[in-house]
Amino acid sequence: MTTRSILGLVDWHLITLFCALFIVVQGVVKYGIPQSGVQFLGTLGYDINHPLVLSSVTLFLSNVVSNVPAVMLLLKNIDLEQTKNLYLLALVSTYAGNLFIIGSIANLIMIEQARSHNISVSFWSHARVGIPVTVASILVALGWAFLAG
Amino acid sequence: MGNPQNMLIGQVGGLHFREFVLWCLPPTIISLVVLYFIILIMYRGKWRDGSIVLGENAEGWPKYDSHQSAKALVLSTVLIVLFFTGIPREVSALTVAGIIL
Repeated sequence: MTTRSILGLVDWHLITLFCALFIVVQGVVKYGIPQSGVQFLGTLGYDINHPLVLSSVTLFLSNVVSNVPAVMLLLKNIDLEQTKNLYLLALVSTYAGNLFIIGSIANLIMIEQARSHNISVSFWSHARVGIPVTVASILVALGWAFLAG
Repeated sequence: MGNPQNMLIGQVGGLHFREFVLWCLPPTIISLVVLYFIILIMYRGKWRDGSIVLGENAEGWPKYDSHQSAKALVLSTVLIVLFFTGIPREVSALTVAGIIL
């Protein structure tokens, strides 16, 4: 087994998927959709840089566009000087990926691998565990954020 | 550094590896323990299903290669140590990738 043949085992389809995702997200950003979303939240009195608002938006967005694009969109619209918010964003976006199958590309990879072993994971059989797991882990993250400051 | 979105946050926000790990480790460990018990309770008695047999595709796996595995282990360890230093992470990652190639 040479390094060359190991490189052949890399999931290049997956890398293509990520590249395509970055292109789509860039398009959405150019169109100004995330900026106007944040402005709209602002007019309702919700500041995106408040930990609770940031966590809620992250949880919602992650399960619409999956967590990597959600983070890409949010990073362009939050105050990057608030380091604690960035830590929280990292934790919440990762945990939010567990809520539904579409929350994270890692879930899709896992389901494809399982399918090759003749195990099928449905949306709801995943969500049945995903929902309590996500709620518990995000509560822990928020609790820690308020404790650690 | 553990997953793509964290890598993005780390790069864009210019976060320090050590501070990030120190801040994120406690909630991660607590969550891991909590989730372990949630899953344990939800799937109590359902682990041994019997209808699913794993390992039938095992022949498809590459054979264990001690030389390549040792190389990967050593270089991964070196990389993680480099992440804790002041050297830019992308430089460390590319250097180690270059050594492998």
